[in-house]
Amino acid sequence: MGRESSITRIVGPENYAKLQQFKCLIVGAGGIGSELLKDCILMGFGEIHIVDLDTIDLSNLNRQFLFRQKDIKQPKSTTAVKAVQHFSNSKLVPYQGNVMDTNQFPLHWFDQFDIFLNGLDNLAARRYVNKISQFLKKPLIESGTSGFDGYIQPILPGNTECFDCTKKETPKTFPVCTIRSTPSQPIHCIVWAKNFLFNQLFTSDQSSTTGDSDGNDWGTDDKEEIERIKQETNELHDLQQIVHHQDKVHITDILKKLFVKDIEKLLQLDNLWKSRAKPTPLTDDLIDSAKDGHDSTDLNAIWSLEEQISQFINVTEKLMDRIVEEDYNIEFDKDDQDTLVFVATAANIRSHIFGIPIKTVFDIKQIAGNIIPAIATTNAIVAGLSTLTALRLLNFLPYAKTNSGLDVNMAFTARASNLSKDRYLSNPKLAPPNCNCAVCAKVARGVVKITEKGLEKLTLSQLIDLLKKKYNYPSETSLIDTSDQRLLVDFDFEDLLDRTLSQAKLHDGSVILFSDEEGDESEMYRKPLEIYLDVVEESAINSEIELPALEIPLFTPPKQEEEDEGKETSTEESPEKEEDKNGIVILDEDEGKDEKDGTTTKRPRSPDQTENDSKRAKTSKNHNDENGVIELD
Amino acid sequence: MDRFDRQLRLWGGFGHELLTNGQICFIVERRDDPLLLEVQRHLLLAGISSYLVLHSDKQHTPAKDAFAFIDENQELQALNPEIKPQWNFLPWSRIQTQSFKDISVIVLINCRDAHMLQELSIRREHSINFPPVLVAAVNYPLAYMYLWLKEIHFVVTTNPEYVVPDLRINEPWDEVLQYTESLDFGKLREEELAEIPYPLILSSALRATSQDERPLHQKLDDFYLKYSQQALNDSNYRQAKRYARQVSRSSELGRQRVKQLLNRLQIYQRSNWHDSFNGKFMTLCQALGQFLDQYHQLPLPSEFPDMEAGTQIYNDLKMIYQKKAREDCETMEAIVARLGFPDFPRMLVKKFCDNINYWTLLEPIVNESSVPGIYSSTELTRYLNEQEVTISTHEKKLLENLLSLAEDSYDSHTLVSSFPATAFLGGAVAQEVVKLVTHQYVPIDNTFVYDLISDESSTIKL
Ligand SMILES: [Zn+2]
Repeated sequence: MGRESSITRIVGPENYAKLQQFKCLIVGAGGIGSELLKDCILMGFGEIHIVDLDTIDLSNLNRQFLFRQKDIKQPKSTTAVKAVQHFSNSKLVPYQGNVMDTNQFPLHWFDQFDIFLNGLDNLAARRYVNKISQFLKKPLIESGTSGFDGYIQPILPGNTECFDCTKKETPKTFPVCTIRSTPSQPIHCIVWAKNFLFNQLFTSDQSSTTGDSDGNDWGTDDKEEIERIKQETNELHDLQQIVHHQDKVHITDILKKLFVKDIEKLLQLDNLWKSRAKPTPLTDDLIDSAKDGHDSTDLNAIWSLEEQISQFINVTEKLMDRIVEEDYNIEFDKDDQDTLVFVATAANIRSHIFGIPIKTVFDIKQIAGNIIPAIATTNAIVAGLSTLTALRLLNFLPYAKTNSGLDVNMAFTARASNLSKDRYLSNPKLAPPNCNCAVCAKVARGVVKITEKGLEKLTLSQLIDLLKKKYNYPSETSLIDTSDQRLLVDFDFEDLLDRTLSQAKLHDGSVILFSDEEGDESEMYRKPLEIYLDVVEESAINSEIELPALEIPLFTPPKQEEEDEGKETSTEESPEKEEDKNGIVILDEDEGKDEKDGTTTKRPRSPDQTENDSKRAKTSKNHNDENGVIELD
Repeated sequence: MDRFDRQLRLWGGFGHELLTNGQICFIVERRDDPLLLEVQRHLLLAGISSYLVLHSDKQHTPAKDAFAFIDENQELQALNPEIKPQWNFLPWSRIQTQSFKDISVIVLINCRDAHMLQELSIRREHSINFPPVLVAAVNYPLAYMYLWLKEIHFVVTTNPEYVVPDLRINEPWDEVLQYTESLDFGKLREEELAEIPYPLILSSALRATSQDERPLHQKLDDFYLKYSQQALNDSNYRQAKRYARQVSRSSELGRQRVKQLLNRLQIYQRSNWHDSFNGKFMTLCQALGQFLDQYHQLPLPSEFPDMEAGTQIYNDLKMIYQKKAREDCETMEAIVARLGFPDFPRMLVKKFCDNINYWTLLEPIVNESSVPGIYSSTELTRYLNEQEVTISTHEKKLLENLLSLAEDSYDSHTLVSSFPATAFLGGAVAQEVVKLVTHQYVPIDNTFVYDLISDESSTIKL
């Protein structure tokens, strides 16, 4: 039976015609994305747009069937579209770009689609698309895989849980002091070697290092310690010079600085070692004698300390040879063996000093590359389910009509090992939105249309007045730019009131949070309102600004005690996570794109949250200091 | 190697080698069947290179605008440049004369042709050995698969997600005892105590408090805190507290589990196996039985986990464990040799010992029907009647659907292929093939049914 008649048989002729008018957006053209693309084509979607920022990498080839050797370094989205064109009846539109880039993809661009399908590999973008779906109230199917495990989560804004309603396992983040002064696990040393040392020595842009900018989570209040960390960073610039001048004779100086002098300095900070085992610096002699040692090539073996040192020297020489050619910028890449061995040996030497178990290069590759072994089969399973669910969400299937979103299932494929009794797919019904979710429940959402001129003319004070009047907010309110949690206005910060929106650095795609800071007589507050500024042509609206019609409900902030209880249970989970067989918990499918999304920054501040947040910071600090438990961020 | 980096993390070099040497036989109506293409491309990417395709004798003109999303010749050839894939195409009429002895798995895809099924069943019945047959189809509104085993299938490791390390803390051997005794907690400073790995804390505690009848986790603080007041803040002691509950049970539970598996094997004393891997594994199981009789313990796995501890003392302890693991493995080798296999691959003995707590087996059905159970309305009806009380309504509905498909006269030309369901099942079938070939992870035993309209699914043993 041909494709058309097959589809017609399933969805019926009327729906088939409708389906051909439908537009879907696939976010990501990687493992899941390319499967989604094929499935959506064969399912008969009229128009399919696909976005991906990346180019194709060798390690993609074993699970991304649309790509071949010859496509390496080509953009994923356009290559994928080329590869499927020959069997496609749909209109296909590829984009190479970051889906979070509001210039390339403003909100109204998203508005053309009937449904979003995620095939993403990072949390920041998943959260972003989730938020867009909430702003536009359009369905989203979120999905992910890791090894034999996979999940899909259909999201119908207002009806079902959103992506952020449940706490997500995210890559761990560590306070600076743990990484720089007091490591206690292999991962701490690996992060030090990769994100700090490697970047300092070999990359030109050092802004992303586990660094010293103010506003960091230092994880310590010890001024002496913070001072030491900053000084240490400055001194590393000298080491970078050794690298840049390809001064191979002085590689041992790098070792002596990092593993003798810096450790000796650390030891002088008595406070650090009251309740911890002290590190033991290497000695100059040891370094000098190890430098001519023989090298093991077995990446699966645990190397001795001497081997680590001699490998470190060899690989640094190789990287020195490369650095001029590569324009003084070498990026860490787990598949680039020189960079991998550098990070592994540096991490292991540091581990040795701090009495932490040493790892094989292969293990470190796993951890440093944040590799979760995504495989083609699970991607195919998840994409197939995702496409079927899209039909279900759009009411294209003959029975099991979805009256409310809660009729739809989410699906998990069970891990291979426990299939004997459990069902292969578990598909719990979707839950309603979590009333504590900062993305979909705790805030109201709206899109404000504004012209370029409006941005130039309107002051913050005028905007606030408009909002107060339209939505009945009391006189004390606050306004925050959520992109960087920058306070624009509140009751004791009014400096910017007379600035225009553009002077206040608001632009197309800015998301601002407007909150009630006063409450009424009965302690009820207006829900905070998150606003997307959508800059439109003058012809599109009647005046310079247009506020959406919204009912903003009132709510009573929860009492402090209740909040505390909730927190107890969530912190208790973290020691369990530590026991995970691989020792690291990562949700992402793809390799170490550093997650800089700092998962805390997007939290809007509700009236009750200020105190809470500082309290949370304190709890997690206690954890780190006294119990050494790493909290999942 | 980089290309396979990810999957190596899942099934290791050992599994990868089995895949490389694997041969898959597909039985299909037509060669452009979309489910075949899905399964085929996954297996190529996984590294399997040798295929036998048995297709209908009828000539099929390629369907225009069908679901063929990948060119069955050129594109599949080029999919994985690391391997040189080879296909052998034969018509169904050759089933009777075909030797399936080198085939790892037969995958029956979207075909229920009565004559072909009969040929296959006869061929299977008349062979002493026969590969596992995986039956898979998308038949609106269902997608299903069924595993038809002729012999036991051994699984080297189920790869459980959460594992309790097998450290034998309550059954220490001499060297552990000596090492424990050499530590006098009373003479150690607090910093030194903070470096003791938790197994040593627990085994000392067990010995010192043997008069105290409370379970270990209740008496641990009484025993240890007198040596170090700040121990509750030490990460090694916190680990000790966390693992204290498991100490008394884990060794015995592991033994019980293995004994039950060995008991199930008693009725299968055959020397002739289709899958030589299964044969070797059977030998290992026999050796394990003797090991258990002699030492009343399982061989110690060589994996010694990371733990909070000082490097020196951690390495000392790790050496003790690894020495014992090595010795146990050598003992097993010696037993295997006595059983008549002096050249048995050492790597396999080690693999077996290392996964001594994680191996399992799937058994064939004793009184099986002459066709695959999922295509037998007698079997389905019998299951429905037997399980009437226990199965849920949704499962009942799925099975009734399945039954009505089995009773329907079957014409592949009206077969509705619902593509997303095909994509889904293709991934799942390929995954099962990989599990079978690598002898890792537990394959679905034996039936999986998914209803694409109601989004319900069920895994049952027919
Ligand atoms: Zn939510």
